[in-house]
Amino acid sequence: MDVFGQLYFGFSVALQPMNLLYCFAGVLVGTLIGVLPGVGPAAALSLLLPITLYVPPVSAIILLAGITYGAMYGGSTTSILVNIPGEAASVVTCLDGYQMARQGRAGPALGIAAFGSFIAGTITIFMLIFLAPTLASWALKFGPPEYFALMVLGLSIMVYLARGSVINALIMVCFGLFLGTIGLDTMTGVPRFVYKITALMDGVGLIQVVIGLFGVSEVLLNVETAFKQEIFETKVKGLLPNREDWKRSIGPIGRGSILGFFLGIIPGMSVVIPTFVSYVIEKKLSKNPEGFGTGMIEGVAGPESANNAASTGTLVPMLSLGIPTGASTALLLGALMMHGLRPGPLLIQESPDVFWGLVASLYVGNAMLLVLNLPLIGLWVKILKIPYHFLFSLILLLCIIGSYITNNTAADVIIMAVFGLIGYLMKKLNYEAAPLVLALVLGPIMEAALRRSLVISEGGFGLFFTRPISASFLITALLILLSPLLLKKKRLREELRAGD
Amino acid sequence: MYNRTGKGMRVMLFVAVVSLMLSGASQAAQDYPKGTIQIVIPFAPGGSTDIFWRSIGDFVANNIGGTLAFVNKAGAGGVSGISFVANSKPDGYTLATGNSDPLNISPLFTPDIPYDNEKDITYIAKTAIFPFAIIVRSESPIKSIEDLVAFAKANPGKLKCGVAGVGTTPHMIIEMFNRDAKIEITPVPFSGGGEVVPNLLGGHIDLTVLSIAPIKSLYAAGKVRLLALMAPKRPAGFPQIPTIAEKGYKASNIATGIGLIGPKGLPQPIVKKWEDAVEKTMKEPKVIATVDKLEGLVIDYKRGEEYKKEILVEYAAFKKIVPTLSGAK
Amino acid sequence: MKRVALYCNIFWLLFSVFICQQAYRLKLGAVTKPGPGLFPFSLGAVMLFLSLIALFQSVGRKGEERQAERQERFRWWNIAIILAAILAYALTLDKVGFLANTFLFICLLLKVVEPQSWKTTILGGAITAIAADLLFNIVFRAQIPSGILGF
Repeated sequence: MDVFGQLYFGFSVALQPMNLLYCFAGVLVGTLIGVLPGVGPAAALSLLLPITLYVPPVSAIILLAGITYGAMYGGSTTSILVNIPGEAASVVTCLDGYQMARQGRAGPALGIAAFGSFIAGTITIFMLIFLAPTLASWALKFGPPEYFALMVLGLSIMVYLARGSVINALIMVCFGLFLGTIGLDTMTGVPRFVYKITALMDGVGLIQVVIGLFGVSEVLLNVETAFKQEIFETKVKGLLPNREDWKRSIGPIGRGSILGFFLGIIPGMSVVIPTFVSYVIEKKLSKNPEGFGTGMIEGVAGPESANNAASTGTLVPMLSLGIPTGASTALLLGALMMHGLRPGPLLIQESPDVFWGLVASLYVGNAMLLVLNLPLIGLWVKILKIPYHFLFSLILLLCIIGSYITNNTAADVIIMAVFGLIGYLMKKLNYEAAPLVLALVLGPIMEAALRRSLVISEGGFGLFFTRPISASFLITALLILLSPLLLKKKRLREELRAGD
Repeated sequence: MYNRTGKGMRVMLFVAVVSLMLSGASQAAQDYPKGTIQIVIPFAPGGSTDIFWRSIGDFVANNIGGTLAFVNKAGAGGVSGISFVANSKPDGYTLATGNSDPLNISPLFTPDIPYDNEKDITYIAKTAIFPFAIIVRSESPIKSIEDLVAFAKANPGKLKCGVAGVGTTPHMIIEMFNRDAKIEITPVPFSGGGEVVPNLLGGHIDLTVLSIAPIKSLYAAGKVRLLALMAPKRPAGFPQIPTIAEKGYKASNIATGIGLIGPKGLPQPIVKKWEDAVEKTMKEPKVIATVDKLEGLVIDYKRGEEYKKEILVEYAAFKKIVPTLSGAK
Repeated sequence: MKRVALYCNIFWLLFSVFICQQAYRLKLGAVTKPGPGLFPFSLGAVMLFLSLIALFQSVGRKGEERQAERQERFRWWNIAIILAAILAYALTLDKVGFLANTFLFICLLLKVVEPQSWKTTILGGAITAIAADLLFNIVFRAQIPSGILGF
């Protein structure tokens, strides 16, 4: 297969002046709209989809891809600057990124997020090109039992996510799982904990919860007392990551890219999950795990790379099989169909210019975004200089708009406010938000997968262990949960031996 | 002085005002539309209904003589958007479109649904339908509907059919088919067509009832096999696939229709204007060509009264089988 | 601090009982064929267990009396006002419209939470509302309602 020839052809398409312009327009608009909290690639695409109708097919795809990536890059901006997750996947970036901003290191945080995303994008695009068909057929092996096992594994890593009291974190996990059950039950259609509130029938809404828990609660915390103290350290310590930052980040970026890509391929995998996994892995591998949550750059580099990598991963099933795997790929697919294109096994043969042009423009888009975002860092950092007694009202307005815009319902804003209060109380009472968010994302997938598996197996639990992939996940989860105990035993034994 | 506005004057004043009002009303219908008409799409952007309306939007706007603004209000499988319109002013400037699920199925699954599908809705017109298909993957030993029925009869409860959600038309189709053919295929609900397809291809489920759009490219690449279609007639692009009615299972021949509705009390002249405009649109060759490109949609125009009847008939049929399903209210 | 933790855990205790009770009313089904209520019920049970443990922990532990050092007054009313403002914004958005609502919202916040002069307030509110309206309704063609004033 003459891949390099095709790639060259693809670049020749992507680098045509008209298409370059569309790419640039896409990334620019995508970034601006992605900066808005609560608006990630999916929302950006849905807002801008109608405009793309007036554009020829190949250029339209390039435009859409640019918007997707731009929105992704933009999503981390508000997470770092003001602790408002720009999209669900940027929640983890808030944990350390915002702390870095408060210490005057917003620049390096934004910078490493941009660079990490770029590197992850580059690596994964090449993996996409060479591995797409093989990976797609591997991804198909994931049925309900595998999903259940994977979600159990995801929850088990919660053990390492908690910073403070483990019991409190576990209670948060239960609370998050509970929140995930609110809404219409997928398997029976029965409303659970809805109490006739139409807005709750689809669930509480991840974005609204997250904006409230992180963004609004932070504002509430800051207005408790008069704004005498500086919320943000005014002496900005450098605009870009320094050598020390790079040394610490290169590992997380690499690991995040690989991890994110492989997790992203799995159809229906939320992009949120790889970011959490990356965060936990970095924390486990770090020599300073307690530092996580106070502004460790690894906590930004890893998850942001995983985020971008996972997004590229979601393109694999879409491009090779024509299956939408999430909100943003569904929109991309819809857009392609509106232009009369048919992504799927035949796309490469029928419209090679679309496929290779798209792939090449993904790379071009990534590069453009890096170039675009770096100077913007200076601008964003200046925004933090706005006096907080004005800034906070802007932050709140952004929160409101972000919550409203996904569904155009005012009820979502109310939900956000409720969770703002909850988040505030949680912070005062030492309960962490991260475990809650992870549980909220994992819970519904896990429960639905379990019940589907039981329908498929007609009641038997054996299938979780007879199928190799799910068995390995479950065993790994068990090991992770037992490992603290095993380590304790080991230490006891060593102490005893030393004492002899 | 008070004699000036005597009884006679007051009567004349009254008549003048009333006739002004009446002429105002018919004026309103004459002038309609006099501004932007908001059309609520009760689903998320990028969905099939969304794409359909946006593709033909310009043509419809032309024929009704006004500007259309599409607004997405997703939620609860369409119930949120429909309920928003059902509870809005019947002045013709807030309408809804969408498929038939929230109208003829959701009321059976959603307790305290905020609208009555017979009384609170004015049915304006039906435009097209989404045909569904019974699909297996190409490696499956089942090669036709007869194979399917035979296998199901020999192995009751063993076949697993993925559907994109509980309380959706495909779910109803497989249940109706079960009763029609006297077999027992187990429905496995997923959250959306996007989840069903990988499960089918990966062999975790045996078959599925799905709309054509998600699998069209897979079909062209030979990865899936269509056993039958649920449509009034064979759609363009699939001339060799039988419809389920042809195979003898008429009751299962249900499709989701895309129509236009408004709140109750919508003035008849406005409804008529829309009926005519939609009819004209669906007959335009450009529109037919656009719809054909859209993955198997079949134009099936019906005027308001007929549309309403169809919805209510299907609703009655579903109502009969729903109590025998698990989990319904 | 000890007391607060105690109240929290009692809350979780009661909450988990609530969840269990509500979940029971949905069908539980069997373990091999779960109904809608089984998962929430198990959650409630686990939460009950956890809150009991936490309760015992908080009772047993010696009170860590950390005096909250508050030299300044705790302005709880700021929090109440902000939440109320957000709620008001949400409820009136469809009727009043984006531009006007944003203007009022910003003005309210600026004036009440950390009082600015009237000039700053009105100016800030106006600029923000207009800029936001331009950005979202025109540039992004977002679907934020226009309201009665038509803008």
